[in-house]
Amino acid sequence: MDFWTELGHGWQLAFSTLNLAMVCLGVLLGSLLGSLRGLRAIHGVALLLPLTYAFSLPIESTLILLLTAYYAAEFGWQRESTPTTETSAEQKHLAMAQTLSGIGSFFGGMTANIGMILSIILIKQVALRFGPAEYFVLIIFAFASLSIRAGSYPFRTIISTVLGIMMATIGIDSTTGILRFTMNIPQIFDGIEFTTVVVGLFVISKLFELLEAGQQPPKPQAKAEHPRLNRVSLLACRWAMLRSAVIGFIIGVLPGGGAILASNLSLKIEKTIFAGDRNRLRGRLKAVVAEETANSAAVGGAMVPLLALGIPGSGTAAILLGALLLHNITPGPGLFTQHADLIWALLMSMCLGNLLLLGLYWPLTRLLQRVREMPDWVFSPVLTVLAFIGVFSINESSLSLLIMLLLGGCAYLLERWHYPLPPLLLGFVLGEVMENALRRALAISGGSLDILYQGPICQTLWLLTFLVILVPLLLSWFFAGRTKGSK
Amino acid sequence: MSDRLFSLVLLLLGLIYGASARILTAPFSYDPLGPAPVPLFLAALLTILATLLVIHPQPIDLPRAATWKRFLWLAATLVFYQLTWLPLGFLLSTTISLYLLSRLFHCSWMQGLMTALILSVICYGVFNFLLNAPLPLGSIFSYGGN
Repeated sequence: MDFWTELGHGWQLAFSTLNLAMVCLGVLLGSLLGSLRGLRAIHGVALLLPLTYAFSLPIESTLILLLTAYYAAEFGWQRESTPTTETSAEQKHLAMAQTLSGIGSFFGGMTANIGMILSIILIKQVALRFGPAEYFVLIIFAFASLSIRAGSYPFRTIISTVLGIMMATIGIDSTTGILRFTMNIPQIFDGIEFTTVVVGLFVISKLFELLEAGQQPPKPQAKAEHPRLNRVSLLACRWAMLRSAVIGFIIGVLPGGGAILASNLSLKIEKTIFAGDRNRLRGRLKAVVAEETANSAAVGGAMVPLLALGIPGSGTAAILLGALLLHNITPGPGLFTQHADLIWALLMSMCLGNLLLLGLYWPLTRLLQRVREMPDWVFSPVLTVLAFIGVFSINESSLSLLIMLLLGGCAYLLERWHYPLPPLLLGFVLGEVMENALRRALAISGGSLDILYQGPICQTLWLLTFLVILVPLLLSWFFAGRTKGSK
Repeated sequence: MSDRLFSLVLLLLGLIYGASARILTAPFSYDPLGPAPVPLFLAALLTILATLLVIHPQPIDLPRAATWKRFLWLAATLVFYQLTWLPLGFLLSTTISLYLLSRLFHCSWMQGLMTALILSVICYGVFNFLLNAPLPLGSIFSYGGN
């Protein structure tokens, strides 16, 4: 198939009635789930994954729905709570920040879309030459780049990843066919089912968090008036937007990144390096816009390694990878030869969804402010029943419900002791791929480890692995010096 | 202290996992690595890191005792839901469990009952009839289910 035919097929897919409906549904559900207290994109997508499977949607619609929900949840900015001490000028400024952050998110999403097209075409050229050894080193790189997010808990991040890989080793060993760690339970001979893990880790553990927080819903806020878009403030933010869109995209591409990290980093950069603005309010405006632009751009970035190499760029992208695998589609260079139309359809639906989000931004924000006032005693039963139905409809066994509950409890405890969950999910998703790649590579070389560091691709990846561990260390040292210097 | 205990549990997990990985052997194998080395490496890594955390624990602020009690209730409710899922069927089991669950989050009995009833009926209708995702009818009633 030549390029234009693929593009045409993608166009047809993206603009079919079902998929247009999925974009609209994704926009609604994503902004809804993203705006609920304490819920983030990953929880929303985790809840939606088994349900899409239960609806037996075709793969392209599933992906469009999940991806749309993912970036819709990251779109725009929700004011958590406005302190009452603020003057009316500040209030007005915050309302302006909200409008501008919508535009920033749109800009970030669109930049990421262009970046996705360019980098997917680029990586595709290299990816065709990837063998098992290259894949193994690539996954090592993915695990190493988790160190970006490790922060003050490096050991715990590694332990989380290891636990994830350990979970992936349960079940039939695909090379030799023997059973590993199955404790003679026939239901887990095939390994622990992916949706069970995802829902347990992110939905059930959320219930415990909600119970612990036990907070009352926020007081209904005074209706913020829709400020007219002011050209001056838009122009003031243009460089901040551009910078954070690029930074967000790059952080998104790195497997350890993700939207939260991207927005934190670009906020840090705006505050420390480009803090020359004397106007305090305008500085705050820029900071908010930078955060929101970066996290929207990171969503697109996270899709690049997922589609081109099969390595998810964030925890939420790992769930999307699971969705692809559930439909027996292995992402990677083969995806371009077999399902090129799927990728074009995804890209087009992303453009469409971003436009829709920008258009609906104001009406949706008002509507969702109501939803935020939903009390926990309604919210947590809804989460529970959807989790149970979703997992049951995929596995048809009540044992998988028990596994889900067990994993949820453990996940809550792990998180309480500062073991991050996204690395665990990445380990679970990539663990089996890593082990198989290693064993295949060694089978090719006849047991010699040399194959793992020969060839230009392997060597580049090893170099990148060391860089990705070193650079965050240097950066944190640099930022620490800056903040100390400014005090 | 609590961090040390948690790391000890992880250490134990690493040891058990490692011990059960050691006995893994393939009858014949054409790959040079075999099924055991990767799990053994993981077990070793986990054991070493957990030991380091046992030696250098960090202070963790834990919820109060009253919260732990509520956690137990939540866990009990969820397990009850799982246990009654097939025997009682979706409608009955969901109504009872969601009622108990919403009561845990401080609401009046009427609010809880309404939430549970409305949710279970809506979900049953939507999933069972509209989306053809069969939900259990209840095996203690003799008309179907598993």
